Amino acid sequence: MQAAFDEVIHAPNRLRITAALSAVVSADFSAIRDLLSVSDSVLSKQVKPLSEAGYVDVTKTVINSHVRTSLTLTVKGRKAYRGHIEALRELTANMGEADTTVDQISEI
Amino acid sequence: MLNEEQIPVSANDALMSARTAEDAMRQRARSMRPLIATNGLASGAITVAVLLPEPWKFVVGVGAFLAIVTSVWLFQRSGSRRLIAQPGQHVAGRLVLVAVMFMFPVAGLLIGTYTDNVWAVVVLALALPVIMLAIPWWWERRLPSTVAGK
Repeated sequence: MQAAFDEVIHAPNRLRITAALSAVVSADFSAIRDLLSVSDSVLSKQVKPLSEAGYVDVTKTVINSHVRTSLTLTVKGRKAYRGHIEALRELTANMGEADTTVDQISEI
Repeated sequence: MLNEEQIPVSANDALMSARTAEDAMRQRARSMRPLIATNGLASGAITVAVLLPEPWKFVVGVGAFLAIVTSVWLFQRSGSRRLIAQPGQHVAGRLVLVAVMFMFPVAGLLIGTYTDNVWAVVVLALALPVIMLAIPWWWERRLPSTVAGK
């Protein structure tokens, strides 16, 4: 897997969203919301850039007049996430215990 | 892409966060396994217990038929992929599991009834818990391998 730092994914909540979705095929919106302990609006706001980047598929299904939203990490999103994790690993390997900030990462 | 969360995040913290989220989600997806196994075992045992009294065969048969039809209908409406992540949290998921639990004893009942081979019924009913263990295992097998947790 080629390491590639991804700014869309690196934001804390988005990283947790992609990480959680990478562990399953798909998950309910509510499951991710509960996992992250955030509100619906916060999760929606964080999912939007991921969706726009083509990393997450948002599927709405109507069941008994209730809309249920499912989130799925796309193939593109899965690749980006793996590449991002690989990039983080390389950074930690190169810098040891040193704290690596976003600014430092962008300079590399 | 503008990052609304422009706070410094160390690579170590990010890795740790990703690993925690992956583990939590994976654990949640797997958390149904003991319940499924328990249901399978209980269902198998109850089915075996009620096999021989003749009136129950009809009740079980009708119940299984209704469960299968209903679950298939709901399964199609909800989409199968959701069940992989949360098989027990969704009505369709529960009903599909119930349908699977019933299908094998019903097959056993039919075989046992028409061939007078009661052991076929018992074996099929007992095979049910094994199947109920195998299905979650298969689901887990298809879950992507850990990325952050290597």
